[in-house]
Amino acid sequence: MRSLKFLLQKELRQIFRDPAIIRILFILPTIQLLILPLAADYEIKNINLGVVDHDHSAYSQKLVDKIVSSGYFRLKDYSPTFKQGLKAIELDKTDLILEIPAHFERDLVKEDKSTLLVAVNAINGVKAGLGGAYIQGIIQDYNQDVRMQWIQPPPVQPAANYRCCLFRLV
Amino acid sequence: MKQFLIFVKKEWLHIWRDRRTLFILIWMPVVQIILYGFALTNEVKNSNIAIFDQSRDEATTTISNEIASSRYFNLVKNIHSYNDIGATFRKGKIRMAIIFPINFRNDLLHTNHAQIQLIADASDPNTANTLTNYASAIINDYQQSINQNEALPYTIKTQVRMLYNPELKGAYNFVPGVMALVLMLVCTMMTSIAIVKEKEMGTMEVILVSPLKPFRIIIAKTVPYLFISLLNIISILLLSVYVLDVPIVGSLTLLMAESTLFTITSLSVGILISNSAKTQQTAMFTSMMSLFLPTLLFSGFLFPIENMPIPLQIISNVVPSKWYYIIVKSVMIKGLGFESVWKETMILVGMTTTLLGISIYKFKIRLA
Repeated sequence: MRSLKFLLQKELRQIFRDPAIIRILFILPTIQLLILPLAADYEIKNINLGVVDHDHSAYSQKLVDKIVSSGYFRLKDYSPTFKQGLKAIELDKTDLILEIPAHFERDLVKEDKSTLLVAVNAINGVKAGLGGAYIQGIIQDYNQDVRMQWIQPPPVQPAANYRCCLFRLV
Repeated sequence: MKQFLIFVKKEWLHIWRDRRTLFILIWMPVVQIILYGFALTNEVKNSNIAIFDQSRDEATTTISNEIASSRYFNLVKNIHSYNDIGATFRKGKIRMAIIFPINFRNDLLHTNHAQIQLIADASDPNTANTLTNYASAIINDYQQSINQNEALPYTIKTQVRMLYNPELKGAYNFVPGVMALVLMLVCTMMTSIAIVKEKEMGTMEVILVSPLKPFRIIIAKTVPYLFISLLNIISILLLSVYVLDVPIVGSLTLLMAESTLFTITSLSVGILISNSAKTQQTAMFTSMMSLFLPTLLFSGFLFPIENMPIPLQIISNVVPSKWYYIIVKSVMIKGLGFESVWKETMILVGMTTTLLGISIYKFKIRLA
């Protein structure tokens, strides 16, 4: 037992005599503890958005505004052609391209349907999946807005007052 | 030149005679890439779910079957009461619960409106989000199949195209990251003990009195390790193509050249550590502790750098593996050429020369 105590004493002294080891053992974990919670944030936000707008209409503007104001996307690139938009993805400037076709507004209003193309950089699968889902959700929401604007909601039918009727029957 | 080659040979003999270390140096990256490649994944598949079906009619059974048969979900439990949902979540058995109300199909057909509740364990927000998205997509599919011929007016269709990785595999993201991590750790560790070992063994004096210049000593120390690292790069690439199924889309030569450059950068980090450390133990500790975490954090393959506070984003630029990760992603997965990665390459070259320069400057030609 006594020898164990001396051994322990010797080992501890050896450790504490070397300032480099002390630094590594105590200061480094503290720094890690401080930095880790700040850095380890893998929430999917700040998705960099590139827009290729061939339509330049009020509707396409509104759609882009709606996407950007959702808070998940940051408009980083506005290219005239899809090829240039793709270049931005290749250079990691953007993560996602939204291509609005020519006559987007006209097709939507006159022909009742229109198609948008979303291309996502899918190297990070989770980010791509969620980014795609977010943007689809926003587009659907926008679609709903458009519908509400054009379709008159059916007039509210006054509900029949059954109590009154029953009363009369009795 | 002859002196230099003799010194390289001496270093090589050091490594070659220590077979056990050589064995570890060659096999460690292989083991690491297999371990990390399979373990480090945030893909969502086979998530355990439970279903609480209160109506048990045609519609709910169809939806349940479709969800259970998708590869993302794994139905583990049918729940029969509300209280059971919370209890099952608390036990950590399931990640999501699907709840159908009473008279689901009746409501759907007669009132045109029915509800399904999805409850997900959001302690891991990304997984929860992904799971609810997948489940909603399956439910939407079912809804589409009911009203096939009724087209809604003013419909915006969205076509989503997943570039580079259409199956959304996790390996595409992790393999470049793991490559950066493994090369950085192994190469730094190899050289971090190279000089300090001589100091500890007492052979440093012999080297110092030899006619070699510090510059040559340091370069000669790195050359044999560079060959071992090349072997490591080849084994890592073979593993990622044939075991982890990540193809090399771009030019193999370019990828090899860039990897060699990154290896030299890591070796020079190790040399710098070795130069400053007094004992082998300190050198090992420093290379492990001060490199593992920054590489993991700041290369950007686990945690997106753009989410970090600005000071940390600035720090991340100093980490060589960040640039290598970008290069590997561009060359290996996107298939781009040198013209898109020259900037990152220049940064790595700059880092290497700076590190080697500091090492040579700090190399003491006198003991103590």
